[in-house]
Amino acid sequence: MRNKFIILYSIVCFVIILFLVHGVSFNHSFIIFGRLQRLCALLLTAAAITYATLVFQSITTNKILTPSLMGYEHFYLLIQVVLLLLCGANSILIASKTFNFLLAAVLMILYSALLYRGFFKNRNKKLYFILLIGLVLSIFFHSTTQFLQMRIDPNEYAYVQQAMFSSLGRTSVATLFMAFALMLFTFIGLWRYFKYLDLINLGRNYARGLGVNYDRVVRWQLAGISILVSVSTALIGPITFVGIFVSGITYRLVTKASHRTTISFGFGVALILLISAQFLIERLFNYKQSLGVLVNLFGGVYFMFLLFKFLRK
Amino acid sequence: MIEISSLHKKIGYKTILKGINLKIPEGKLICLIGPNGAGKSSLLSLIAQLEKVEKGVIELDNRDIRSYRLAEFSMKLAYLQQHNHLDLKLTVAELVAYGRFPYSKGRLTANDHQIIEQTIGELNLKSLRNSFIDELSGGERQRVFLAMILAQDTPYILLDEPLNNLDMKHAVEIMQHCKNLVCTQGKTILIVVHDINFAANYADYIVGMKDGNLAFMLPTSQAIQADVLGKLFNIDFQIITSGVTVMCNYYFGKSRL
Repeated sequence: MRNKFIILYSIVCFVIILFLVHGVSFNHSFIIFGRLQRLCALLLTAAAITYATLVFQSITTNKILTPSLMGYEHFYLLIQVVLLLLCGANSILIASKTFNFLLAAVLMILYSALLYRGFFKNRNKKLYFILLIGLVLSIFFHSTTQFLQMRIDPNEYAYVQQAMFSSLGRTSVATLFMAFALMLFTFIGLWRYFKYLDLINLGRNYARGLGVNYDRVVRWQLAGISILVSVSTALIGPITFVGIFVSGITYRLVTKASHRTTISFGFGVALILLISAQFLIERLFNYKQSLGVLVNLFGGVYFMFLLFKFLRK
Repeated sequence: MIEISSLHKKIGYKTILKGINLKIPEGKLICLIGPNGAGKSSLLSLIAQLEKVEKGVIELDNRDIRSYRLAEFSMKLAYLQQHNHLDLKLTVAELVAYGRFPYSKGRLTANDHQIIEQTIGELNLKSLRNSFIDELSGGERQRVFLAMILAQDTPYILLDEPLNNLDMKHAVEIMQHCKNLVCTQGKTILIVVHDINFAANYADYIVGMKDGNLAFMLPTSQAIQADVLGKLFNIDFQIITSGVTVMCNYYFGKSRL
């Protein structure tokens, strides 16, 4: 287990250094600064996605779900399209990265607050019921977005297309700081429940039997997860799906159920996936590919590999 | 002592428990028997506070169970549920260690380790110690979860069909172990069993339930009678005594005697 961590984090260090210094000499401080900024965005995203996905899977006791099921990403696109239609491409809400980030993050957090309200208020509502509502809503957002897209000026459509794919191009120093602050507060808030997370794995009955207020822990975790997902989506766009690959690889390589282990391992996996994808985009594809597409390609290949291995047995 | 007064329970429009009044004495092994759907598991999960008591009162040591803080309650009473399956990479020792959570809050002391090892030894799980629980057979998993509950070391223990999936040897061992805990450590153990013969041979008291009502609560010798059991299960019984063991024969079904 310890060796796996050492190997994993050596690879992480290697990709980080490669990403930062490949093809530049040290007097290009401007380029290095830009790369550092993108690296920070990736670090934040990796932390948010890893925590959100792994804990979400523990709560739902299902290892193939991601929080993106709740419709955050389709809702994000809908926000962008509606903004474009209502305010036009030159509006400050679209042109300014900061305002756009803030608006999207706040709206998504409000959306999840509304979605979970029923779950928090009515104890008899099962979590899976809420998931189903999220799924239906996300289909609704998706088709509404498609419908509205038809009404957009073809020149402005390029903006929507840009929003559809995750990219680091929309971050700025200000949005990074805001995302960092939001996530920091969220993680600090969640910290006092951290020791109870492993008991959540045992299910409600045993968690309660061992003196843990399961319902309260789950409620806070879900609230935290929705902030993390909202912030990371507002920061670089739809990317939460990556969580499935992160958790899949983590559960395969880690033979411990403790969240301390899985989350710190998953964070490394997420970093390697995201940074190497971003590296390839910058050096090989000359910024013509989107981060999400490339990471999903990696992950997809890995899953095909797993599938073939499974079928051959 | 657990004292239950006029306890009702509804699920949807169906009444599961229809006013149960029951006193469960301390330091005894009590078996809960009755046909399917009698409300045995519901009663247990209400005592264990897994569901909210909506009508009626349950008192544990003369205090309403709702007034206990959850952490405090978990040092008083432990509960083993009927179905135990977890898809987790947890070893047997790690799972049993969770039983100490109410005391250690995740930081195990030397005393905790000693209790964990002792429980693993007592339930003959030493050879499985480092196996993952998702790779165990049903019976082994059942014993591992029981070990976790026993490591919790509470004065009251509720077991919902702990003999599920167990072979004869292990079933006997578990019942002997429970009996032993009652006799030597004065624990109060309430067990739901379907094999009436285990109840007949190990219980101090037998509680019979039927259709959400309490049918009887009697010392074992008075409960294991052909007419009492016949009325409860609605089939005919023949009680056979051989030495110290009692056998309830019901395999002939209804009224061939």
